[in-house]
Order: sequence, then C-alpha cells, then structure tokens
Amino acid sequence: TDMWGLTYRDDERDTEDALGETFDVNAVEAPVSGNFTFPNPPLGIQPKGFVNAHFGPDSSAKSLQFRKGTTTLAFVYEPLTEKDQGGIIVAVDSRASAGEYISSKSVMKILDVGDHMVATMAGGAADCQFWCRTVHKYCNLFELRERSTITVSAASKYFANVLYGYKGQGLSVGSMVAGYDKRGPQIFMVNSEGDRTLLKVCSVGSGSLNAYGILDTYYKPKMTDEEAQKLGRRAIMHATYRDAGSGGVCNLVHITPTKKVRYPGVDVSKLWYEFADEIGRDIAYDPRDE
Amino acid sequence: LNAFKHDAKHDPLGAMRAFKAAFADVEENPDWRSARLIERQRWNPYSMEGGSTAAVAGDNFVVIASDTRMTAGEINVVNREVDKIHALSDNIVLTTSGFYGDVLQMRKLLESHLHKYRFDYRSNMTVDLCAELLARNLYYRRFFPYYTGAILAGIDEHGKGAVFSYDPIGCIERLAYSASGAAEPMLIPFLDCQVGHVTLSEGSERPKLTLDRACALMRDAFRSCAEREITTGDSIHLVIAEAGKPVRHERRKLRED
Repeated sequence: TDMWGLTYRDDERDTEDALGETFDVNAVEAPVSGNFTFPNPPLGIQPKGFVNAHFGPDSSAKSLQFRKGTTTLAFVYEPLTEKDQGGIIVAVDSRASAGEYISSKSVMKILDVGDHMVATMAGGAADCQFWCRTVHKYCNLFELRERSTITVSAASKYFANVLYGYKGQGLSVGSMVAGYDKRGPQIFMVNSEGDRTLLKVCSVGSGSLNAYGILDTYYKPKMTDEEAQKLGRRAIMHATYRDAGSGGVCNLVHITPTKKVRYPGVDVSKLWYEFADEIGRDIAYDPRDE
Repeated sequence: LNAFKHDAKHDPLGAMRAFKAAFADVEENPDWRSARLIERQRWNPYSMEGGSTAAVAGDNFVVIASDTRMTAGEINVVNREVDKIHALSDNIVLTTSGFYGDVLQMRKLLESHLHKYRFDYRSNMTVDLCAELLARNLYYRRFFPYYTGAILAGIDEHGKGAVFSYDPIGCIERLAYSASGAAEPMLIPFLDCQVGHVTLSEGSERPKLTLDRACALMRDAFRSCAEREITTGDSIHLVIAEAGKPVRHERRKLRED
C-alpha cells in the first residue's frame, strides 16, 4: 500500500516490546514515510515559478486559476451562565474565487480533522483540502495506535511540520486547528510558511482585517452561547461586506467540551439586513421594483 | 567590447552609447546562459484546445453536455467532431476542458483505477469514491498540474444525480450544476437562473427540473454560447445518465462558423 507520505510496511514480521511480548510490527511501530514524491516539471524547472507562470494571475488561463480567497475566524470563550457551554466558535464564509471569477459560492471551509477537532480552509482551496485530509488520516492512525485521543497541539504540530517540508514551493495554506482536549479549548493557527501559533482570537484570510475589527471591539472572555455565535456571524458579515474575496453563506461550528455542533449556513446578505435593523441603521440605497 | 574601440577623448558621447548598448546586451544574453537554460525559461507544455462543457444533476438523472470543436491557438478549427465527454462506466461520466493531452492522460488514469477496483472488489466503483480518487490524483500533480477543469458526473449509490466540480489541482465540490471551459462565464449565470433559481424575481414560476427540461436547457445554453464564443460550436454532444439505465448519447448540430 503506498499512499503519499505514510506507508504501512507490507511485511508480516513480529516485533518484541519491552516486556518480551510479540506483536505485529504494524500495530506497534509508527508508520514510516514512503517513497512517494510529487512529480516536478522536467529540465530542472522550479515548480513554484512554473505553476505561477501557467496558472497565476498573469497567465492566459482565466478560468483555470486555482481557487482561493476567504475569511475565517475562531475564538475561545468561557460560559457566562450555567446554561451556556462555552468552548470555541469557528465561523467562515463560503466563497472561492479563481482569479476574478467566483468559481463557487458554497464551499465548506470547516473541515473535520478528528472527532473533536476542526481545521479551517484559507488560501489555496485544494491545498487546504488535501493537507487537512492528510492530518485527519494521521489523527485517526494516532488514535488507533496510542488508544487515546490526539491533542490539538499534537495535530497542529504534525500539520506545521508537514507544511514546513514544502516551504518555498508555492503552497498556500492558512489554517486554524481548533478543538477541545484535556488541556481545554485551543486554537492553533498553522501556516504554509511554517508558523504555528496558539491564539485565543484568530482570523485568517483576505477579509481577516475587517473581521479583527469586529472581534477586537466586541469580544469578551465570558459570553453566553448566543452572544458568541452572534459575534462570529457579525464579524463574517462585516468582512464579506467590505472584502471582495469573501461572500456566500456564513457557516458556523460550535465546539463544546463534549461535542461539535454544525449550524446551517446563513446568507450574508440576509445577515446584513438583520444587523442593520438591530443598530437602527438606514440602508442608504433602497431600490424599489416598479 | 565595442566601448573600447571608441576613443573616449574624441567621441565621449559615442563611447557612452556603445558602453550602454554593450551593458544591455550582456544583461539580456549573458555568456553563461546556455541553450538549455533558454529552453527552460520558455518551456510551455500546455495549450488550450477551447470548447466548453456543462453538467446538471436532477433527482435521479444527470445531463452532461459539451460542444465538439477543437481549436488550435484559439483561431484554427482543427476538428469538428471531438468527444469531450467520456463515459467511464454506466454511472460515472468524466467531462473536461483544457489541454487535451492532459485530458486523455486523466481519462486513462481513471479508467485503469476503475478497472483495478472492479478486479479487487468485484463491483463497480461508486461516483463518490471516484470523485475523491480524482481529487487526490489531481493533487498528486500539484507541482506540475494537469491543465484541465474537470467535471465528474454520475448517479450516486442512493440513485440521485451527482455533479462534482474541480479546479486544476483537485479542489472538489459537489454541486447541483457546473460548467467548465471557455464559455463557463456565460453558462453559469444561465444555470444559476434557470436551475438554481437564484436570480429569478419573487413572483416568477420555479418549474421542477425534469429530464426533458434539463436537456432543453442544456441545448439552449450551448446554442447561446455558440453565438458569442469563438471556440464553442459545431455540434452539441449530450450524455444522459439515469438511475438503472445505460448511458444515452445524443448529438445536435450547432453553428459551424
């Protein structure tokens, strides 16, 4: 069996552990890296320049550019009253643009990485989908081997190490690994540059500056569940309002100490009307159908 | 260098000009740059063959349509009867736009995977698995991509129509309809309106998507593309996959200009 990256040995050797008991080697030892390598262009051409020349913004392939662009955010909060659960709110938009063309308005940017963890997608869509799935595979193997759930710290560390191996080759991944484990709720922001940072309030993407504005203004460490969800949706709505690379629907996941809850998507233009009503703001331009 | 042939004392301007020209020449064509390096900088393995394709999923059917024109350099019509829709099995159909060499390679890869799956598991591969397989195979070429915008369509294991759309490196998404190719910016707004009912005004009728309506919409869409897009035309190739029935092909003539 040869998936990229990790392989299980196909042999049927047994290995002895410290107590002298024999086990199948596949069950005990960590999988080794296989000999899959990504094929590169010939003649020693560097992949980053090649891909940029043929699929980048200056290329002739308008509709074949890679899908990108986003606003994602996550924050940790504690419960205010006994009825609230606290945890992590992760909110994202759902637009993917191939250059200036909106190639999809319904991308799911919150990907599962384990039973109690999620990773968000920002930057290159295919890159994030592939590598988040790789991390998910690693988490599953880890849990089978070690017979305990993997921590967010370990999963994000693995993710960062994998991305560091491809540093400089043109990958574009800005992901937040968020989850609840024995150390509490944690959000790690992981980058294709090799960054890995533990944060309580985090936003990544082209609309992240707008989202940070709202988050920094209204974030409180202790909030009720409704306040927290509203804050997440409001930040996404403002980001999509002012950023051309974000739009579509606002998807939200609430990670509580016991489970992950996915909420259905809300169209951001409807969100705008709700928030405008609430702050008593006039819609400056009100076209009427004759 | 020519600069040294000029006498700086008697012809300073000429000497300066010659020096500048020599400098620019060395910057453009350095001595150390071999033919191989020049070839490397200009190496372009891709070319676009033009054309467009689209797919629409219904409750228990999926309709895939494409034109059949192949162009070279966006100007010459090389072939008027090219197959851009490849039915890989009775419930998996691949259709792509982009570089035809990469399209053929992708098709060969998927066909061999389907064949191996049938050998290993004694049943046909489902559309969802094939979609995931294609996404991964596209990403394995992340640093030397397939120059294609792929659409995989078929009937999933619950009998519903499925359309999966990809970018060149394998970002996968399951949708109700998708289009790819030169006329994608013309097809998608049309399908958004008539199939997704997204841009219809409040009071207008939202008819149900039956097989006949889907086929009619596809024919209309491609006729309108042929009117306004140079690399789309010659004929429409329609492929209809229904749950439990073999795949059907239909062809209609389009403008040949």
